[in-house]
Amino acid sequence: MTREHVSAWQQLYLFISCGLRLEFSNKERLLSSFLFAAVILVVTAVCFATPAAVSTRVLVAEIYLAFFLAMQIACLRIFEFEQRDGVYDLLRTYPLNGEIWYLSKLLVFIISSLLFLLPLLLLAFIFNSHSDYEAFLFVLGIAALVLVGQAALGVLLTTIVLRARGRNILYPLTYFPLTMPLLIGAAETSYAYLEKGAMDDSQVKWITLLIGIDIVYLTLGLLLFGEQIEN
Amino acid sequence: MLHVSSLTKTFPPRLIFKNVSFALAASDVLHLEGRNGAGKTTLLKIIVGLLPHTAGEIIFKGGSGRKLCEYLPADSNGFFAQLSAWDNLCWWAKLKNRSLNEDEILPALQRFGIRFPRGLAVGFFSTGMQRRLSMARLLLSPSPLWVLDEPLAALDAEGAQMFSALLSQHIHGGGAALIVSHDETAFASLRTQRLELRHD
Repeated sequence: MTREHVSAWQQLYLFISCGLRLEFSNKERLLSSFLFAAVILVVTAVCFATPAAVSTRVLVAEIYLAFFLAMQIACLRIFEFEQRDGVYDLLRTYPLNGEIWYLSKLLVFIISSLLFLLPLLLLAFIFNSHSDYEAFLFVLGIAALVLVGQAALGVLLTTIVLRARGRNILYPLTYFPLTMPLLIGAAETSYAYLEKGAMDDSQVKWITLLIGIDIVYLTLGLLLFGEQIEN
Repeated sequence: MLHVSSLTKTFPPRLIFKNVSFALAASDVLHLEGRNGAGKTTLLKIIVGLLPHTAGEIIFKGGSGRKLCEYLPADSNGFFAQLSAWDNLCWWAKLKNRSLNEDEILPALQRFGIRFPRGLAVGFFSTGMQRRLSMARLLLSPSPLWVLDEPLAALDAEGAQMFSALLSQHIHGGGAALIVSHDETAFASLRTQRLELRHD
């Protein structure tokens, strides 16, 4: 009988390949987050007359509001398959590495979220008649930094509240305030870049802050996820 | 393989069970008995590490509990509904570092009457067929200690016979099993220890 643990790399591969297959086999999951965000973009574009003086502000607000709300929905469904199919508890009885489980969940979530982040940004730029290619790439990079932080936090918080009493209220109460610094930093940096068309010192500080927050949330996730699935 | 001594579990303020002790060696079957709510499922969950115990000791010999135990829950089978039987079995086996080839999987699936193993997602299986697939997973698992919670749930007479034969093969091959079941017919032919959990 084989008695050795599965290696970390093999576990990572098994979890990511399975996670991506599940994500892509359920188009509704991918579509609903994107459509939700797209509806917000369309409604704001139609409802608000945007004079040139404030159009950049509106664009930034639209992007991060739509992104944040769509991510909120996506985060709540991180363990949907495992919970629905009774896989989560069974996995907890297997000799697995908690950090690798966390990393694989995080990577699958980031990959699937990028799939709606890209068209979402494109739509936002089109609706607001922005055609600056470099600005688009810059905002995409900043949004990706937000995504990493939100995903790192989302996977951890979803695990913490999975079995918690009062999870319906616990999750938003923790998730919303902890994502605010990310969103504020992203909005400030994106707005400044879109207005000036170049980076300056203040943006570098905001980007450093975003990276710092990402690292903190990632570290927290790696340290606490294993303990959460144990208990 | 497993030694449990003076195990106590409370969900404060309620005492679930107190001072439960037993030992399981190779080729042993322990049938856990008791009325509904006596704590049988809770005890199994403690053994496989899903719940903490309040007091007492659990000692596994020959490796960690997660390595030694293969758990079959009562209320689910733990298969991804969107994947095929084949993919599910391969995935679970690989997580225990066992790579399966076609010569191993196909006979296991055929033995339990599972057709279309590659073409049909498990979500389309009936509950009984999913339970049969769980038996295939048990068969292919390298873990020697099976922890089974109502293994006969949803199985028809043929499925129950299959389970009986599977358990017999496992026990005669040096494995052990800890079973909660209200139907003893499937393991009546095996020499079985009994342990009754009751509220005093």
